[in-house]
Amino acid sequence: MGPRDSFRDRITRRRAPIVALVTYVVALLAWTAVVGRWLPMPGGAADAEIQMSEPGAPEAMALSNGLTGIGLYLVMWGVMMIAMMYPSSIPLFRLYSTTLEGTTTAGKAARIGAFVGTYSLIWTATGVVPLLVNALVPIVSLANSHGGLLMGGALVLLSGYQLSPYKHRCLRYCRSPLGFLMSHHRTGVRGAVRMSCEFGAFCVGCCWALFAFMVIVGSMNVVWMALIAVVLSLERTVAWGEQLARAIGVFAGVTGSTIVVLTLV
Amino acid sequence: MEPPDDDVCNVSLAWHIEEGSYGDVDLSGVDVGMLISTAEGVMFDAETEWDVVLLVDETADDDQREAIEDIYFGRAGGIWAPVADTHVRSADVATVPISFSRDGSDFSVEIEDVLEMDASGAVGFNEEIGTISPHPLTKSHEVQTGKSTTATVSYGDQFTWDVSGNNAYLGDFELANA
Repeated sequence: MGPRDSFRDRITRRRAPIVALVTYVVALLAWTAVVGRWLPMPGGAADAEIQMSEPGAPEAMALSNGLTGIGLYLVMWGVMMIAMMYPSSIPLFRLYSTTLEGTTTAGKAARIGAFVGTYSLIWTATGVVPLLVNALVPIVSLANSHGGLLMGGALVLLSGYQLSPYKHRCLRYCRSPLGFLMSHHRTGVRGAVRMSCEFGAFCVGCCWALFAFMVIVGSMNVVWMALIAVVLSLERTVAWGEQLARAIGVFAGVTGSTIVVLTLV
Repeated sequence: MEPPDDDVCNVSLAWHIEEGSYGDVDLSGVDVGMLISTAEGVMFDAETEWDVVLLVDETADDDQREAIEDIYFGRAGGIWAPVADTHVRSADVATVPISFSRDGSDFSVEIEDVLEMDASGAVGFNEEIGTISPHPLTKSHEVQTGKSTTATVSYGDQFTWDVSGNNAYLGDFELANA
């Protein structure tokens, strides 16, 4: 009867990877929007002396343009987060969608929309942090006056977190979408929102230090964005992801301390 | 999670459905057993494959048996869908007489000559039964810890083991999709 061969076919044959495809397309659009500078920033064109890719520039520009500036910055930050975080979250989105057999297409769309939407909102909300930090300590002037210390300090902070048990606790959930789903699964749209909040918390816990570093090197710096997106995707998906997280911690620690020492000497 | 003894997991699970339905099919009173034998590695590592035997109570009619298969093999969605999608390499079904009894935290399951399990809740601090959370298969996402006195399985060569005297997990469950 060959159940060994037929089981996976029986389970998977009906399912086109729609969720994965849509997510990839959205992520691709987000990357295109960021790279192509489609996103409006207040005074972006007029302020020729400030490059958007410089450390602290987008944050300073946002803060100097009031609520509109803050709103536009958060939109930009949200699009960036979608570009960077969606690809590595697809395994969870896809697995979650498999749990939704037995509801209508509209019901599935509502639940997946609630799950992915909440996740996106959580990441968008984290954009408040660089704005708050920048309101207290302007990163542009700090980067101009103490660039070495700022960069070195950011690397040391990144190193400390990459090597901490908190990072690895969160990473474990991000690395095992089924493990997360098995232990946090809830039904309904409200359940989707709740699960997404819980996953978002682990996800932010996993990646915040990398994004803190990104803000320091320039939150609109596309090269760093791409590098960090690759790093966090590898951390979350490949078999040697945990070792990679530690290796980055060690590398950031050594580089950061060296920069700090060289700056002080 | 840590690797199991000998690097493979042998798992026997049993459910007594007090109240439930799948579509129009009433499943109240149906007993279900499941045997899982894994490839080497941590059970929930994405690359670890499982061979599964679903044991359905012989008192269940055809509709009920089909419903149970749909649910536990993930075709009905819910938490078993990603499990089937990620892990299950082969799946077999057997219709067998199942006797399931529970007295508080004392559980006893006998499935013909396939399975015999007796387990009781294990008391921890404060004279309360210990719990583990989060756990996917219970309503509260929490299972009680227990210990088995008997836990033997005999179903073909692959599904034959005696893990009596090991940890057991007990709890009320609620499965739902969507």
